[in-house]
Amino acid sequence: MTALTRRDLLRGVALVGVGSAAGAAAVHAHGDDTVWQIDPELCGQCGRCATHCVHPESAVKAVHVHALCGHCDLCTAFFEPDSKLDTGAENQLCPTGAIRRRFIEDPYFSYEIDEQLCIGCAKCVKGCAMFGNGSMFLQIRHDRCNNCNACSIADACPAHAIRRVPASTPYLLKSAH
Amino acid sequence: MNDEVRTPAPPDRHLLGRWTPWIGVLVFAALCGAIFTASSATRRDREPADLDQAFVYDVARFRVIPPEMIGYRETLHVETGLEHATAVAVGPADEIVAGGDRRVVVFSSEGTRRHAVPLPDLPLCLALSATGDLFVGLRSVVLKGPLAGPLERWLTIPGEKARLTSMAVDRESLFVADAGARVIWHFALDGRRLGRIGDRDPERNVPGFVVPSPYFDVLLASDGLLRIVDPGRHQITAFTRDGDLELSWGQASYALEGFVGCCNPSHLALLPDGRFVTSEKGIARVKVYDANGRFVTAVVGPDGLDTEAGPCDVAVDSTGRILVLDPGRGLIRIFEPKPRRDRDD
Ligand code: SF4
Ligand code: SF4
Ligand code: SF4
Repeated sequence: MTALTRRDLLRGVALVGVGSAAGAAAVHAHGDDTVWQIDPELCGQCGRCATHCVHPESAVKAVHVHALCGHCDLCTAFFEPDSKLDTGAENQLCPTGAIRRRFIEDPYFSYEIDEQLCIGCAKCVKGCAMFGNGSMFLQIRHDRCNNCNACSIADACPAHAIRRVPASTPYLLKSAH
Repeated sequence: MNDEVRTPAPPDRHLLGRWTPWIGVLVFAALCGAIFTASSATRRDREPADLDQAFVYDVARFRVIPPEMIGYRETLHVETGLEHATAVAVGPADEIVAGGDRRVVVFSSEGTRRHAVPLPDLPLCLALSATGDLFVGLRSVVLKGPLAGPLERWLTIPGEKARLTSMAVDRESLFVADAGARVIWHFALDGRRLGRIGDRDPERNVPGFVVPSPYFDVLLASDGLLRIVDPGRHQITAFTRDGDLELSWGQASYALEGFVGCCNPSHLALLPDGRFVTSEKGIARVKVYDANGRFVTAVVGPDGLDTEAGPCDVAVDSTGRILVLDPGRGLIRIFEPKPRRDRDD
């Protein structure tokens, strides 16, 4: 098991995939050079992002800003509420097993999203927002999104959390500041 | 006289005719809009995420506290008038002191507003000495002055990451909890820095505090020891003023007796009889533990508090009333033990 240092993680935003996908956003830009994105401050974690995208596999994925994370042992985005603190599948909160936990140093752990497995259900986002620092949140991934004229998730979103943003800044990331 | 009966002029059919198709288009568009709005409203309101229960984060069962486990009742609430209320404390004559926005607001013990003291920034924590000196913690600065104001900048906590969360004061010292550095700073009342408590030190058996979020509380108990919350370990620790770890209690649990979530309790206070009051975030629960850390009773649960705006600070007055800041509503809720006849214990 590779032990990351806490400093490595705290150095900044480590969103593998989101950064590289930023370029791809331009490909799908709307006529007015905008794309759809979720405002993480407005999202109420209702679960519709997993079910209302026109793609069979949603274009929405959970992302994790490590600089905001508390690196908790008892991570409420990783463990089912009131489960044992052991990483057996039955204790893991993510139904698709998309969250990877790695030891950093006692008593800190890092958590990473495997985007191939994530379906954007927001269950982990809710656990993180309720007890933790809100470092996990949903974003529309522009390497997957069609940038439909009318985003069918935006249409169904009860929190009105999805809006058009400039294609040049296609992600609404939380910051440690 | 002209008997010719004049028929009213016909409407300008030519004009109407010119607009008819556009009116049709407008009516059609309005109808489509109404249907679209209605359908999307219906969609939002009625169509849930069609997800299996396994994908639903459900902690509803932990939000329920059986009434017989609640030994307190609310007897008074005070409207602070603060939009962003952050802290509550009690003065030497049981004055109720609330911090938030860019001011401190002072009330009598019965909730009559006395005055407000302006601040340069959002207060994050408050402490009052027995002689009535008010200490206000901003992000990395401590202000000091009389309760009536004005306050002066008194200390700057070193370090770029400083994030003050709690303070405790007695006749000799001020202890300042810094969630950024994860230590308690110890200052003499003349402002000299005397030390820092809680740095990881295996030789002294001090593991270092685990503070995942900016909630890290400290108080001074009548036994002369500090009580410091180690939120990531779900524990209350007792330290000497010199930084020796004496004891700790508390455990992680969704059950009422434990501390819930990743890091709790967020706040701590001390009753006159030596029992502790704890406040938890996530699932807001205010509870009383005896001096040895055994659960005694709940004071208020999630249904009685609006925690959308943040966790609930707690304070205690000399008569044992428990003051709970309800930040979502800008209220201080005051709780007293239920009369014995109302209790099921
Ligand atoms: S539909 Fe809206 S509220 Fe629901 S998870 Fe998606 S962004 Fe969040
Ligand atoms: S819980 Fe849901 S949103 Fe979170 S990683 Fe798993 S599939 Fe993705
Ligand atoms: S714009 Fe289309 S593809 Fe993109 S998230 Fe919305 S529904 Fe899915």
